[in-house]
Amino acid sequence: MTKYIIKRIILIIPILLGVSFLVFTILSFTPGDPASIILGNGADQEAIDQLNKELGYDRPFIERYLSYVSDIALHLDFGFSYRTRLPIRQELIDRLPVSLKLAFFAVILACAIGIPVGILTAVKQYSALDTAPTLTALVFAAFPTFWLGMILLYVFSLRLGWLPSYGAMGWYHFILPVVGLGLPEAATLMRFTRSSMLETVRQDYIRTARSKGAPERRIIWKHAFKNALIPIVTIIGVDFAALMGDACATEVLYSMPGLCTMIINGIRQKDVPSVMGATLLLTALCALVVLLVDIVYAYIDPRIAAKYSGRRG
Amino acid sequence: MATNLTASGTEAGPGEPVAFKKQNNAKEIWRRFRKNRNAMVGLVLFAIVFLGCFVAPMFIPYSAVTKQNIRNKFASPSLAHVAGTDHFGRDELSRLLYGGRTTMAIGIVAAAMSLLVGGSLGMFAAYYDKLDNPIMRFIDILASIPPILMALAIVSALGTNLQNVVLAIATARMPAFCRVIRAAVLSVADQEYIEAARAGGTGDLRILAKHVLPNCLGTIIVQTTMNMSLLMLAAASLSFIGMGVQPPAPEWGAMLSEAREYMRQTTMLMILPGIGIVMVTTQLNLIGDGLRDAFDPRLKN
Repeated sequence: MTKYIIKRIILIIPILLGVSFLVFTILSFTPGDPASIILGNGADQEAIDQLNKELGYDRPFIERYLSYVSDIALHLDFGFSYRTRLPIRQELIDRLPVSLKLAFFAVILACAIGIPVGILTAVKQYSALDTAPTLTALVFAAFPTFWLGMILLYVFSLRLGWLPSYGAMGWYHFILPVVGLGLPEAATLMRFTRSSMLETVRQDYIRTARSKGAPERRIIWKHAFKNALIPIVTIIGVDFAALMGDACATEVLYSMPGLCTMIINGIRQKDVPSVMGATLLLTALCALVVLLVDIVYAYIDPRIAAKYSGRRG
Repeated sequence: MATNLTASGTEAGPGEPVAFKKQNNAKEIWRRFRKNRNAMVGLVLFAIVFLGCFVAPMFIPYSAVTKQNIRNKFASPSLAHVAGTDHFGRDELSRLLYGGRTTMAIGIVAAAMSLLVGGSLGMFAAYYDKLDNPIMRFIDILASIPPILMALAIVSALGTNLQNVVLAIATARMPAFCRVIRAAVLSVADQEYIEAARAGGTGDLRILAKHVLPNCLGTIIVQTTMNMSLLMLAAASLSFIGMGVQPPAPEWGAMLSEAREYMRQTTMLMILPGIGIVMVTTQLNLIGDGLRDAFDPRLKN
């Protein structure tokens, strides 16, 4: 198992290289060279050329890419911001916790609501306890997170004045963003849990468990839920990347100093190193989440764990 | 007793030629779809909104969308302005209809583009063994960038305008299309009838067009419908964060972004475009669910 995990972590490296190359290439299409952006409109051509040379912008594309990657790999150096001239690494370190907290608690909230309610609706299929949550979830799953966020902001911040409408200073700053981000995700997760449970409940081993007289509670939790959990965990992993997108809009809506706002500010100010750094960090994060999901698989499904270990030889 | 059965299940009398009636698949699917109440509600409502957003603007001049009248800002609904006016005194209903047209058009065009490029890549990867590895490893890399970051990178490189937004969200969605269609084609490609066609000397492109694609049509249609709503949401959120359609052009996400500044004065402006987005995505999801069940009743629960 440990060997498998190490192998998977090593496999992330080529993906990150590919991603960095792709993003680096796309962003090098951005019009304008760094020096003219740094020096502004009034600067004369000589000074611009001089600074571009200092920044190494006169070198060919491949050389620039390789030095960018090796700086990150060897010194964790993400370069300097064109705008503030400060190292990108420090900004990433400052902003990462905000994005992490937002995504983490939103996923926790989504699981805490989505999975139990999904099980409930599957167990009580066709009753009022099924239709009411299912219909609610249908609408909530279609809610753009930023719109739900706006409504929450209006009600709880502007009208009632209970919670702050911007920033990320204390834990209470995270309540509205996490709820706005987590509820639509909870609805998606609930719908998925429901269909996964319904699928499992129909299997032969459930009938076997019933016929041998196992108590209903034990059938649901021990036999059905454990088997239904595998696709549910998959969907959490798959949805994480999509959650990132919604988190972006949420960070903008609540003016949170996270990685997404860093990218967007970077785009507005044509600050390519900021955009690159934050994009790479977020991508690495998503790759780690996918890895985490694969490891969790092994813990909930002994068959998969056996496969991992078997592959070693 | 040996009986000859026709495809429709009726017994053929002795001596009569065995007539296999060609099954009409589309009719059968439509019949199953029509029986699905949720899907039909979704379809009818979607048709209404779709027609409203695409036909009504033909009768409303675009100037109604941009004409400002500051003195009449935040007006309540009246006969002249059925949905009131916005912060520049522009007619909100016209903006909603034009905005919906933009949002939906982006979703539809982006889904078509994504399907065309991603779908073909997936199809060729599945059909030609040699292409499978290179294409899919490239798609793996593409897929490991969260869609929003991909879209943002493209928009930042090419600039924010309508075409680039479509290009950005279509590219970001491409890996999903590629993987699904590859899986669908894979399940068809090693069937005997494909082998038979190949043995008969049919060319690869013809096999793909005549035998492979029609058998993957269900997956393609369902996938495209489902993705249309996702792409509309993506377009709206891209505009919301200011990286998509730019004001004053109306688009539901961009309108919400503008309304954010005027929450204190009026809630109308932030409610209406949001309702539009929720309505359209819910309807498309209902239609998609219905289509999935109609194409493959086994999946229904």
